[in-house]
Amino acid sequence: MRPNRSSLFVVAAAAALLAAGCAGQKEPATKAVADVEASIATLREDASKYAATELQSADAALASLKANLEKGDYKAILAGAPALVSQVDALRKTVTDKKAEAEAALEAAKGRWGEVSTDLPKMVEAIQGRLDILTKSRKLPKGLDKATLDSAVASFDSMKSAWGEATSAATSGNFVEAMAKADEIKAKGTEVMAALGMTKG
Amino acid sequence: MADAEQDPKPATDNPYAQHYVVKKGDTLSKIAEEFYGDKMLYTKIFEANTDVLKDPDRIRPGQKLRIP
Repeated sequence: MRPNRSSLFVVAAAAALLAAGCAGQKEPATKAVADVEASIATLREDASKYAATELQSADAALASLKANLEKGDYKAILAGAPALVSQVDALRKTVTDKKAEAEAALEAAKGRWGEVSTDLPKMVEAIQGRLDILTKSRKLPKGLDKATLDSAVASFDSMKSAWGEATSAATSGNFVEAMAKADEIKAKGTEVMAALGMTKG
Repeated sequence: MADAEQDPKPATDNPYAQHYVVKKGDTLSKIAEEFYGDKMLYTKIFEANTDVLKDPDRIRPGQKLRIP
């Protein structure tokens, strides 16, 4: 059946309306993608540090919207953008919270480092002094055998090496890592002192 | 002698330093044997306590000695 003039007009009008509709969605869709991309960009540096998984997920959602933009599926973009905006808001909150936690931990570690950096060298000095004497002793005191002494010497060597790493971390401003190492060193030092029969005071 | 009653010098104030309070009948050799297993290492204790000990053969009960 050959289409008559009026049906051709309807099809043409529908096509024109559809095109107009699509054209009307292109601008807000493009803007939505650009806005979300800009929001993610402002968070990227901190997010990669504090919320890498959430950032990856937001990037994947953004990539999907961009793919729709290339396909001209503006409707899908306008439908999907609000969810991504919410996702980016949640990402922003996570980053803010985790950054605040990390800064608080850094401040606390910095404060503790001041005390520990004075205290631990004294522990090292006390153990070093005792080991220097015991390794020269012709006999060992009651309760200390050669194997225990050798083990204490090895532990003490690893303490000194870890202390070097801790001070390097602190010098670089990484007080959290420095304090983690310092806590391990102190625990090991306490064990060594006990093994050598050294009581405080 | 007043200085013989003093605690070890605060210049080496180390919270991890070990101390020993002299008892009746103690000698530096005996203390060295207890802590180091070797009487001959009494000199280490004497050297660490020259602020309160003038003679390694003269220690008195109640004296607080630093044990390095």
